[in-house]
Amino acid sequence: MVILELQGITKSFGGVKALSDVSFVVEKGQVTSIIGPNGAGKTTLFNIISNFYKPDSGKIIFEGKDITDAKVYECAKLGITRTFQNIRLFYNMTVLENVLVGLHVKAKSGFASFFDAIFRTKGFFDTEKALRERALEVIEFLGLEDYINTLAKNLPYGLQRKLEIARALAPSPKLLLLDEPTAGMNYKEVSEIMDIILKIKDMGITVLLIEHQMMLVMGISDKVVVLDHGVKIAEGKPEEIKNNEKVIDAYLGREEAETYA
Amino acid sequence: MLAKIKDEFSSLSKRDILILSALGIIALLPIIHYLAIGGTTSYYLDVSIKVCVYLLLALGLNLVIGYTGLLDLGFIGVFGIGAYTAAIMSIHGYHFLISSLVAIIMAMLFRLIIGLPVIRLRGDYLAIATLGFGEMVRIIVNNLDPLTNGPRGLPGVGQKISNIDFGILSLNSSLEVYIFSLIVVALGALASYRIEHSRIGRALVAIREDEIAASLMGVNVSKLKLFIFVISGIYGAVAGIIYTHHIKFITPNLILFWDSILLVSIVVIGGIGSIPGTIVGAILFYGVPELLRDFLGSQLAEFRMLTFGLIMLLMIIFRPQGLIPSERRKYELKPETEKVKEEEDENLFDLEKR
Repeated sequence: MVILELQGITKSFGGVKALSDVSFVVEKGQVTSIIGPNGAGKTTLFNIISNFYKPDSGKIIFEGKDITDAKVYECAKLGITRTFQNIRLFYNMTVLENVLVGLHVKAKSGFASFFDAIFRTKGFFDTEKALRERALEVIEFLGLEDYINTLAKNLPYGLQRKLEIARALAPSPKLLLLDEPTAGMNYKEVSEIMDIILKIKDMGITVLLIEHQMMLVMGISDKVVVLDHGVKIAEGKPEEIKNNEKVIDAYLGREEAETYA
Repeated sequence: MLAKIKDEFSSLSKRDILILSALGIIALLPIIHYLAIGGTTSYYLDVSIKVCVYLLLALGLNLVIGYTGLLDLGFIGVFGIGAYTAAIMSIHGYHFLISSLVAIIMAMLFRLIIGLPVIRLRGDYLAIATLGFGEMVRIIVNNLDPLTNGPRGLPGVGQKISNIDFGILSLNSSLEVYIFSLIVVALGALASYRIEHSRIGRALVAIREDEIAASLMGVNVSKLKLFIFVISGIYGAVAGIIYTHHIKFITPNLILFWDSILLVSIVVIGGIGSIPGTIVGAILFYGVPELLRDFLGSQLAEFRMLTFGLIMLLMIIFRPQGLIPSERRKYELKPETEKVKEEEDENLFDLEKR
């Protein structure tokens, strides 16, 4: 079953064509990776899927609905959350608070929530309790339970990356976008992230991943999409991609391809 | 678990309890003085009421600057709207409750109308735009002669309604106005605290921290900004209502840019996003100079602004987190915990020895 379908996405910034006519589908429950050299348009594509940018042309179909014109803040409600290539945490909030903000869409909104907060109704405490339980569950899943009250900015780098995943994972999204979750991590941390992604997949959450670590990409992806200069040059199973001449020339290089062949 | 959650939200830290009891005692002092002299007016009581008025304004501004990070330099404008609406309605003989209600609604409408365009601006641009709207209120009030009597001001507030009576509390003496203000301030602080410690408060702080990340987490940033902008207007209006009914005479000089700056200083120096800090800031920056005026003579009090600059500078250098920083912000301006720092110092020391 297809959860996300991109139809002919084109996006230019001034004279630079960041993406031209990119189309592919993401199957529900799978891990799909986007790879390609720097500047290939991977992050731009993420920004378009999370509705942060509007494409010049093309459509984004999520669960059969056209979400091209959705607002940024509506994405989380639809079930799409993401992490960022450059970590964007709420640095002066604690780990717990960060995850609770991630759960923002999971509680009553508007005046009802304001009324509840001011008068501290039973509903308020019930909601807070439920949110906290869920937050703690996610925090434990990512192994951050010793840092619940630590300010995000005082966390070591690797844990900041994990906290970002926790925040995005908290509302149980249908589609999780991970933008280079292992950037700047060592070998041990990369394999940890790999385990985490596989577990997330087991939860039934579809993962779309941007990654440069070929070990990770080839190890866990069900499908790989390769971008180069804003153009999709290949897509398919990891084994097919490894042996694709175009991909080897544009991105993998001879040696790397042999290593993972 | 539910009981634990309730505890978490209702229990105050030791520091907060200490500050609150100290503030409670300070709040009682003017009443004791008033009763001791047995008079009908007390200068200290009047100053205390004005401190309460500024405190309410600062609490409102803290929602906008402290939690949400929007530098609002025209907050005094909403005070003017509240005060003038209450005054005009009262002069025309409307009851206190009705005029107050209309004043609050007018203030919220004003905030909504200026908020719609202003909220889309960021940083410096937002500061300049709000500054402009604040000045606009003063200029309009100054020139709208038939309604506001222009620069001559509006006398005779409350003459047509001889008695405001809530049963136990009527607002006819300074003492009663003071007690009324204290109740309002307490309610305002409580509401502010409850907003901070809720889903909305978290979202507001998230906006201050990183607008883009917040919106991608599903926070409707512009709607929430506008919402808190309007809610803060209630604080401004209530402050204006109390001021009007206490002084009974208002002029456009009430709405000076300088007062907006004073309010921002109270919030920033008290401790951004901290309710106890805001309260202490208002007492120090409004109450103490007024009292010193008595001791030092009015000439020296005019140097207030100069002293302000000096205090601001010293604060920025030595205590950037404010007098009483919010619990969350307390550690944020320190690079690491003291222990790590000590270890580092030791390591450096070892290196030097080698």
